[in-house]
Amino acid sequence: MRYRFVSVVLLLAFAPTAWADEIVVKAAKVYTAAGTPIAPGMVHIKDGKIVAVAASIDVPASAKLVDLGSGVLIPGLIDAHTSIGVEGGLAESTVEVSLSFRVLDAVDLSSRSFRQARADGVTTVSIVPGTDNVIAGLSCIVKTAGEKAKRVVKADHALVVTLASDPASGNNARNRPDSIYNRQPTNRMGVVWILRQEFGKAKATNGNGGLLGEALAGKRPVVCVSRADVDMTAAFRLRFEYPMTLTIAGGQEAYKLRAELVAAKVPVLLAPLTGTAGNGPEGTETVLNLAGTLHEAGIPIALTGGKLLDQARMAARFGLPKDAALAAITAAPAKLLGLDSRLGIIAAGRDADLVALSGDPFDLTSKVRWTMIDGVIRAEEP
Amino acid sequence: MRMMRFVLPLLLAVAAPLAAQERIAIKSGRILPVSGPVIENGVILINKGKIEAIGKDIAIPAGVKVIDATGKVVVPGLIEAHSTRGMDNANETNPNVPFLSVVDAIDPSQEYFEDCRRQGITTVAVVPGNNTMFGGQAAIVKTQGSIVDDMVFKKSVGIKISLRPTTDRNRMGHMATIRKELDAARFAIADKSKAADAKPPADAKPGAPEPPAPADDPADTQQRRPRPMGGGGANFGAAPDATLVREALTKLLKGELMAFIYCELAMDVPQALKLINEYKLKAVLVLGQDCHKAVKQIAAAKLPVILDATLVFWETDSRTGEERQVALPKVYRDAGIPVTFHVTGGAAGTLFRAPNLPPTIGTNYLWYQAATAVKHGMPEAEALNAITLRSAQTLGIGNAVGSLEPGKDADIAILTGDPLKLDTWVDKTLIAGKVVYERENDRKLKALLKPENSKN
Repeated sequence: MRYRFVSVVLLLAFAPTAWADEIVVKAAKVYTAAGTPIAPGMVHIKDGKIVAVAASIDVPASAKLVDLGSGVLIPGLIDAHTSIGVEGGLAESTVEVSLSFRVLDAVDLSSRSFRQARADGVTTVSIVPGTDNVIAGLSCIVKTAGEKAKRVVKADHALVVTLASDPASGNNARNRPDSIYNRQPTNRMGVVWILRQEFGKAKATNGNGGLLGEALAGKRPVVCVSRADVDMTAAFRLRFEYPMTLTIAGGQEAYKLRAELVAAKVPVLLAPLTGTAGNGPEGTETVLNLAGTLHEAGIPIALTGGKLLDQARMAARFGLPKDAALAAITAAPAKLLGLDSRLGIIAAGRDADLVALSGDPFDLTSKVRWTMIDGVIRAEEP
Repeated sequence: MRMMRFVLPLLLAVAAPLAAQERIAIKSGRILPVSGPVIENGVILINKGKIEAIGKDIAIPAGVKVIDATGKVVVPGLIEAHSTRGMDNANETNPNVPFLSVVDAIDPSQEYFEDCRRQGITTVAVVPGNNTMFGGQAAIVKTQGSIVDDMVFKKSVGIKISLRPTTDRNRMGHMATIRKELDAARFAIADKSKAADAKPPADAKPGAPEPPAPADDPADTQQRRPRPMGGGGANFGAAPDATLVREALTKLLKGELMAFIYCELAMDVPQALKLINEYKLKAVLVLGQDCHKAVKQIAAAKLPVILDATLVFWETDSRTGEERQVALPKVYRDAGIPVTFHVTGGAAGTLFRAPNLPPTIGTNYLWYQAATAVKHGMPEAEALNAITLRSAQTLGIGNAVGSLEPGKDADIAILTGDPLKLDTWVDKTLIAGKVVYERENDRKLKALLKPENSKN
């Protein structure tokens, strides 16, 4: 009997609560991620878009006023490299090259991981396939809530490749000579060889090379998952042979390649710092102030892989300036995904993707009060 | 020999200044003693590793080494009441080893202890992991020392009892085996004289003639012997000696050792409480995430509680898909249960691949856990208490460490600002009045914050 009431409360907590087409949000501070914060500030939202941002806005009669009191506003957070929402396996394990695979086909838009992302303030995600394959397929960019038809921001975005030990791991033919998992490559050389071979084939077609051809023509971004110096160096070598618009994802040892990254203008989508400082995945030598070090060198970065606000806070603790840390989860990933005209900052004309926090974004005790996506408040603090 | 003649005076010369520095004063800091009100611009006088005096108007005797803490915040060294790190492995393969001591497995050179000092953690209870039944004896150690003996504060403090069944057993069997072993120990106490006649002397000297075979029926021992877990590793040749098991459990029943009882699920909580009641155990509850569903019983039991390291998580109803975020500090606080924290276990660096959602750096810091509790409604002072004095009290060492009071060990962390804040760093850590960490000399931290520009 009691349970019936509990479920009603729970349902209410997650149902969209503000359907007003026109809202004005008043906050103690508006962090626009595009210049100095406005304090106090107001944001006028209509039909899912931001109409105006200013210290003071006359609230139209048609609009509903949402006063955050001491709360603040930041842009909706953007996770530029994640695999949330993917149903089942993240990679086709029978082949090493699954070029035209679309991760969108495996994304369950009603997955609860989107709800959890929303509760963490994430409004847009770039979903990538796993790292088992040398060429894994195409990423997609989706909003974390909304009508299904409108949620997909970009169906096929970047070509995701892995230049790390992952595609070679577990491919030792001696273990299972008769298995379908008996496949190449079995080492790092093999990973690069396969990539080189595929790019070479595409180049030979003189502009008819499909997705790889598009990549070679600079029309299709390539996201390369690499963590160690050796792998990023190999990626640069490949990029020299086959010019492409490259972004590194992972990048635990990117601080060792600052000069190369700057020279090649290659941005880095940083994976979360894990566990013991100094020891990342694959035994990479990572540093605590990875984000700050790259930022200082002038390398565009975004913090990715979940818990974005926590990541930005810790990055700030370790040395990334706070405005850059906020940008690294908002404006910077929007730009790296080529969506900066639409997302990433609080400015007129942009999508009304906003996060209301209970206080300063860099105060560990500040909580997400609600997340607004396309003008609709979608996730409220339980 | 001739060499020694030169070395000896040298050693003495080194030792002399140490003796002269037995008294240290920390002055001008903002002191948060935890056991009392904040002292602005206070002085802590340390003598022979203990706090001699603390207060506002304390004269610093001439010749005392002074640490100037102007602009700094001085707090008691943090205490982690439950850590399964610092050992070569958290658990032995055999799940029935209450006689073992973690002291034999602690590796003082592990980065964990270095990092403890860096985080201002001065005392840690190293407890066997949860993948066990009677996992061995926990020890309380200070986080500084080149050999383990230098670190040990209390060698045997309690026994880990895990209520999560090991590998292929149901909870029925697991609980029955736990009871069977505890009963055996209880009988051993009740029938002490007879037991003494029947058993070989416990302190049989090496080289002494082979003791007579144990009185146990070998078949019976065989039957109750737990199955080795995980592919079978070293099992001490055969089964653990029943006498050793009983001796250790006897200490538990007499209250000489605490029971760190791990409850994985809420359903384990009433079982734990029954065990505690039946066998009159002095217990600490080490609670898994799910246990928040049993807060009522936990609140009524009024036992010390150590929360799961994942303090905030999502729960989903498997049928309806309804989900809610659970913040453990809030749930326990609402139920009126005082808690303490521990951190997420650490070997994430050994993961070959980045997992789907790897733990962000944060939950592996004790101060961060306390800050998370503040985020979910715990007052700051209480959160600091939870990782200092309450931790000490949980371990039964509240009279020796955990707060800044005269007579207590001079285990102190000097911070750059208020505790539990994002921008606050540990500037110095003292253990027993000795500076064991200084940020300005922390070359490793500097390298991790500002890596060299070259590729080498």
